[in-house]
Amino acid sequence: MKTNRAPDGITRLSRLIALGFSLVAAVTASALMAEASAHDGFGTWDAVRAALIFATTAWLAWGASLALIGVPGRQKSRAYPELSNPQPRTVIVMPICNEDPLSTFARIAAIDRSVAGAGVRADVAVLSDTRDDKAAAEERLAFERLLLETGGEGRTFYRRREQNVGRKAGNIEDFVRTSGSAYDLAVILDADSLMEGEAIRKMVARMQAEPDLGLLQTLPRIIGAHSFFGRALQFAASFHGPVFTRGLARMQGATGPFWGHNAIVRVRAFAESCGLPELSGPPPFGGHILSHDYVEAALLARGGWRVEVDQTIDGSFEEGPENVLSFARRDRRWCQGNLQHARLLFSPGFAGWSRFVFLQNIFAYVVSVLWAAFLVASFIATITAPPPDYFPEPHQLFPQFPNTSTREITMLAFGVVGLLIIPKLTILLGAISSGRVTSFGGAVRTGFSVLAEVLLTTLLAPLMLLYHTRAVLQVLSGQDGGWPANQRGEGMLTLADGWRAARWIVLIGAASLAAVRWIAPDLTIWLLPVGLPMLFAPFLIAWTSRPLTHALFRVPDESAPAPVVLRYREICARWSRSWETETEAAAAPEGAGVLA
Amino acid sequence: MDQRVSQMEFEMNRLTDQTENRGPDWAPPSAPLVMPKQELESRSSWLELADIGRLFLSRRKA
Repeated sequence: MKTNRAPDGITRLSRLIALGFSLVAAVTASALMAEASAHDGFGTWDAVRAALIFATTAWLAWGASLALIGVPGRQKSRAYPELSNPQPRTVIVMPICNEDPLSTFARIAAIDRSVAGAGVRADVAVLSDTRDDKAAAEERLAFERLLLETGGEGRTFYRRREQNVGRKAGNIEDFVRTSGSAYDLAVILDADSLMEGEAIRKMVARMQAEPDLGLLQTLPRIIGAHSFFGRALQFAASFHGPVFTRGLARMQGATGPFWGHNAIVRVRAFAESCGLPELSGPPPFGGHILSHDYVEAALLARGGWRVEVDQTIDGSFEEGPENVLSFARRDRRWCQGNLQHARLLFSPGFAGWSRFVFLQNIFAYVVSVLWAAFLVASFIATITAPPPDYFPEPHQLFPQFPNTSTREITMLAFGVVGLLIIPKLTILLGAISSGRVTSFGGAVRTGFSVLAEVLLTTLLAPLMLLYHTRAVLQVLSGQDGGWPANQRGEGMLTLADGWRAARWIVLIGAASLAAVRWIAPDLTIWLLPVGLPMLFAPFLIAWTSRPLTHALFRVPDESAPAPVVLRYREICARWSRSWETETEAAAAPEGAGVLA
Repeated sequence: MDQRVSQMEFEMNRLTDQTENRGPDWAPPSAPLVMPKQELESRSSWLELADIGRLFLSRRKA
C-alpha cells in the first residue's frame, strides 16, 4: 500500500473552486474595506482591519463554498455492494464514560436487534471508562438486562478499565491492543449513537468490497431534540447537513473526516496507523491528543488508506445539545482539542490536505478572535481618524463635504450577510425543486424554519463569538479545560442560569455600546446587531432552552421515526418501569455483593 | 509506514481460540494486536523550518 494518495479530478476541481471563491470574496471584502477607509486617509488601523476582514471573509466564503459545491448532483443513495459470505468479523464498539446506563444500554439493545434483523453478524463491546463505582454497578446491571433482551451471551461484552488513560482514544486503543485480532472491522459509536442495522450492513459491505478503504464515516442526524435551540440545531443538521457534507465529501475525496463515532474502521489499518503518542509538554498543547478523531483520519491517510464520508447512508443518529450553554461547553472542549492540532501542522508524512484540515480546525475557533479584533480595530480606526477638512484649498468659497464610506460599508455588510444566507437559500431552493421539502412539512413550513434558524443563529452569533474568544484565550494562556464527560439530556434553563453564565457578556455588550455611543456615535448603528444580543444574552439563553412544539423546525425523523429509534424508545420505556427499584435493591448492602 | 504490522502477525493472532480465551466477567475476546505508537512530533521538521528561515535571512543579508 502506498503512502498518501493523490486526489482525483473531482476532488482537485472542488478544492480549486472553493479556494478560488474564498480568495476572490476575501480580496473583494478587503478592497471594499480599504476603499471605505481611504476617504479620510489610510492609516495603520485601517490596514489592520482590512487584513482582518480578509481572513474572516475567507473563512465565511469557505463555509459557503462547501454548501455550494454540495448542492448540485446526485440526491439519491448510491448503489451499494452486496454483503457476501463469509462476512467480515465485525464488532460494534461503544466507549462510555459516566453516561446514563439505562438509555445507553437500551440503545445498544435496539442496535443489536436491528443489526440481527439486517442479517449482519456482529459482536458488541461496551468499553467503560466510568470512574464512579456506583455508576459502574448500574452499568453492570444494565448490561445484564442487555444480555436478557438480546440473548447476546458470548458475543456481547462489557469491560471497565482500571485507569482511563488517554480518555476515549485510549479506551479504543486498549480494546484494539487486547482484542483487535479477533475482528476485521469495528463500528465505533458514541453513547448517544443509534444506527440502523441496514446502515451498518451497507458500511460493512463497502468495507468488504473496497479493501483499501480504511475508514467510512456516516453523517449522523440529530434526533430527540425538544428545546427551541435543540430543535433548530436538529433541523439544520437534517436539512442543511447532507448538502454541506456532500460538499465536504467532494472536496476531501479519499482524505475524508472521522468524527469519532457512527463510523466503521478497518481494525488492521487502525492498529498499524493510529497508535497515538502523548505530545511533549503539559496541557493544553501537550499531553494526550484531545481531538483524536481528526488525527486518526490523517494518520490513516498517511498510511495510504482511504478515509471517506458517505452522507447517503441513511439510519445514522446522535443527540445534540439542548441549550446554548451545553453547546458552548462542548465547544470549549473542541476548541482546546483543535488548537492542539497546531502541534501537528508540521508532523512528518501527513498529506497536505490533512495539514490544511488541521489549519481549518484551528481557524474555526480563532476566527472569532479575529472578528472581535475587527470590531475593536474599527472602533480605534474611527476615533483615531483625522477630523474632516471642509476647506482643503486656501481660498475656497464653498465647503467641501467629505465623501462618506456608507456605500462601501453597506456593500461589505450585504456581502458578509450574503455569504451566510445564500448557501442556506440555495439549499432551500434545491430542496423545493427536488421535493425534499415534503418530508420537512412542505415548502412554506420549511421556508419559515430556514428563516427562523437563520435569525436564531444571527442572534446567537455574538454570544458564540465571545464564548469562542474566551475559549481561545483560555487555551492560549495555558488553562486546561480537560475533557469532561458530556452532560446529555440537560434541559431548560432559567433566566437566573442565563444571567450566571452570561453576565460577563452583558457587561461587555453594555460597555461597548456605551463607549461607542459616547466616543464614536456614528458607529452605534453598526454595532447594534452585535451589542443588543449581548445585552439580552441571559434572556436568549433561557428563552431558547424552552420546549418548542413541532410547528417549527419539523424534521422527517419526527413524523416517521426510524425503526431503530422506535425500538430504542420502547426498550427504554419498558426498562424504566422497574429500573429505580432494581438499582435501589442493588445498592442495598445485601445486593452490593452481587454487583461487586 | 515503517511500523506496519504484518498480515502474518494478524493471521497468527487469529489462530487463537478466542472463545476459550475469553476473560472473566463478560470480557471481550483475548486476541492481542500490535498497535505501534506513531511518530507525530518531529523535531527535525521544526528544525528544517528553522533552517529554511535561517537560509532566507542569510540570503537577504548577503
